[in-house]
Amino acid sequence: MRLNDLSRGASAIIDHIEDREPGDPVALRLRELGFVPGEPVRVVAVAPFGGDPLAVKIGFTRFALRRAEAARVLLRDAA
Amino acid sequence: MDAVVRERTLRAALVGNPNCGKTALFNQLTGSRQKVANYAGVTVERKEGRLTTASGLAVRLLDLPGAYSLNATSPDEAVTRDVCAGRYRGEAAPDLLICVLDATNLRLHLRFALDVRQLGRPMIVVINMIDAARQQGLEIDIARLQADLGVPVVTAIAVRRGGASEVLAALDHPLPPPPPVLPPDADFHAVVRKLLQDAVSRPATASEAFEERLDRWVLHPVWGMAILIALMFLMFQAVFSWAQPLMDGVQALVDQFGELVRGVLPDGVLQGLLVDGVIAGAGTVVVFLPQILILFLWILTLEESGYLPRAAFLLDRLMASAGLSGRSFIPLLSSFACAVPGIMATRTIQNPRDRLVTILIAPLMTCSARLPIYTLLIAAFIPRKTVWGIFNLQGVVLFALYIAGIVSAMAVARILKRGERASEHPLLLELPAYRAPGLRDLALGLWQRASTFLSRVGTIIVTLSVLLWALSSFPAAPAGATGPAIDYSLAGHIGRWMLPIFAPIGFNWQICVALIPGLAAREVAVSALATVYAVGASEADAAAQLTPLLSSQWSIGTALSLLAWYVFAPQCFSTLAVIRRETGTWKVVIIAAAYLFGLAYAASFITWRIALAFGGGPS
Amino acid sequence: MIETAIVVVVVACCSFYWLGRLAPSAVRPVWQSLSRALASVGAPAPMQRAVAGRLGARSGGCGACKGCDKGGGCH
Repeated sequence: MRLNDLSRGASAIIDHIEDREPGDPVALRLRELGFVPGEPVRVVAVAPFGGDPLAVKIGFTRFALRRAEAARVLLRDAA
Repeated sequence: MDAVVRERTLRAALVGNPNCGKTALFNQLTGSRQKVANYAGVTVERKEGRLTTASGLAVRLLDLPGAYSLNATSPDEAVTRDVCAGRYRGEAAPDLLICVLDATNLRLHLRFALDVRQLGRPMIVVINMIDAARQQGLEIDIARLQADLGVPVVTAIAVRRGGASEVLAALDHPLPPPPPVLPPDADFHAVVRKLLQDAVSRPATASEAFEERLDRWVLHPVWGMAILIALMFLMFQAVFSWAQPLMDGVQALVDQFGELVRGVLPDGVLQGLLVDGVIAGAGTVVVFLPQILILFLWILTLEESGYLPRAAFLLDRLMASAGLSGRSFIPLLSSFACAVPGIMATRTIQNPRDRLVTILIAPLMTCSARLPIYTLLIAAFIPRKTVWGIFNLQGVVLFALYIAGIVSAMAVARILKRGERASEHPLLLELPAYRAPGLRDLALGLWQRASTFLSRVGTIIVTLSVLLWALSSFPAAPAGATGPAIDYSLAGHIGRWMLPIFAPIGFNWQICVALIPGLAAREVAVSALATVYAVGASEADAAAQLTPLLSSQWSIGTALSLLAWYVFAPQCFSTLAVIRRETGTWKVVIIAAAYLFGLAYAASFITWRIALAFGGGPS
Repeated sequence: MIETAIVVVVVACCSFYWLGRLAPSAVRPVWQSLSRALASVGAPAPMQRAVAGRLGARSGGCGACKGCDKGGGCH
């Protein structure tokens, strides 16, 4: 499952971040922002007009990501 | 002499993630002794301040733009990276890096501190907002953290008076030795996790639940939008209604001063220069200071409170439909204050094409310099009545003018982005914790705006008013002339020479004359109109204010056409200059000026024609 | 006519200010000769420094940064 498939209010654990291309800058930035394997994430809100972007909470920080960015984050079920 | 001073001066730089309270700490440490180079943008500019520690050490403190990583993805972060590494041209490497972390967000911010530590330069770590962390029940073992990190660690509460005393004390210590550096392939997140495990204990917290409840409303697809619209609408109502008493007060002072000068000086050229030139010109613009300050108070409060990124989140989809990302929202919102810092704030946009389009449409956002023109014309031509029970019609018209700017900006962006192949526009925006804005920071921000405004009045506007007065007074009317003297002056000739171009959109020659100095800054057009009409007016109504004068001399069609003109016209050299500077090419400047003038002319032409059709022409 | 003289001086100063803003190179010789004149009559040091400051002043650059590169931003 990917982060963009997660519904509002649901949580999961990050499995890994997928690079779309070698040295994908978006994937690199995601990792720097703390999207790393083993971190729990939760979808806090979805935006109006079609549910893009998402607001997710990771650790104690909230980020707004577009669905295309969220699709790089692969999840495993919350333990 | 300079070298001796340099020896005793410590050069320090503040670095940190965005939203770590770095700017508040900077304000706390340097107070008003700071130099914001040219324009007040939040942290996109080079800000340097001076302070002296208890032991008498002079410190020059640089406030660097916020960054998430030293792997820069935007020009903004590149500045921070280059200054920290000492690679910035014309900027010596700082002696000490002060890395500011938000105590409530250590997981993210400690990673950046590790990034900075990799540079191997002397640094100290400041754990800011320690009070908020304690409130959340967060215990941070500072001694442990300091031992693990290998750099001095102090705490601070940047928004409280005296909250930076530990930082000041740390500056007095001798420079710390270069910190330990991790091997380049180390897993920084693992190190951070270990640090947190060792030094921080965190129970579940109540304040978090509060933020989450608030976000449930603020980020809600329906209620969130309603809140956003209400806030924006309230802002424009406030600009119009709250400022009125203050503006009346300033107006009365200016009038009294004019009367005083008129009484003291004998009739003649000098009296003309002071009353019709300086006082009519500069005085008319000074009156708008309260309005501009109220607008800035709103924008600063929204910026400080952490609401803006949430608005960007809500509007991202709309921006995407114009081909932009929510990231463009923040520069565009600062353009409501002034397009210059707005265009500079585009440095946080990574995608070069997005950045260019944002720069091109930023001048369409209604900047505060347009307020004097809008207010003047609205007050003269729009009746002050209540519509739909609660709204002031004048406020509604002002709101509509702002909306006209926004809608046309979106349309232009859409056209500029057409034909571009679909590519990805990363958003990746942090939604920071809500924060009550610090009164000190608000006051400092307002003070900076007020002094910028007044110094513009003192330099650009006064000098232009004097020149315009001279142009409209000389040469004097020949003996036996019948018309008003101004008709024979240079300004009269210039105005009539321009008239054929502007008559089709309903402008008279006085407006044409005012448009020229209005190029220096939009509000100058108001002072120019004041001067032209003051010189041209007969003795009896020379003391009259501009507003009633205009409403008796102009048709409503002319007023509406001029309003439409100012929604679009790029009447501001500073904006064009900053576009040149930020894009590095004249081509973009020419494109921007040409399309904006074209739009302005077209909009005014249509407005004038429609007004004529409905009988709004000259009677 | 003292009044006229004052008005002429004020208008001339304002024109000079705008000339300096729009075309800094055009007013540079004026400052240069002024600074030479001040030095030769032994004017007070703060006055000489102020004039020297006008001479050194340059417009452009992002704030204090003087290296604006082609891609935008300053490096």
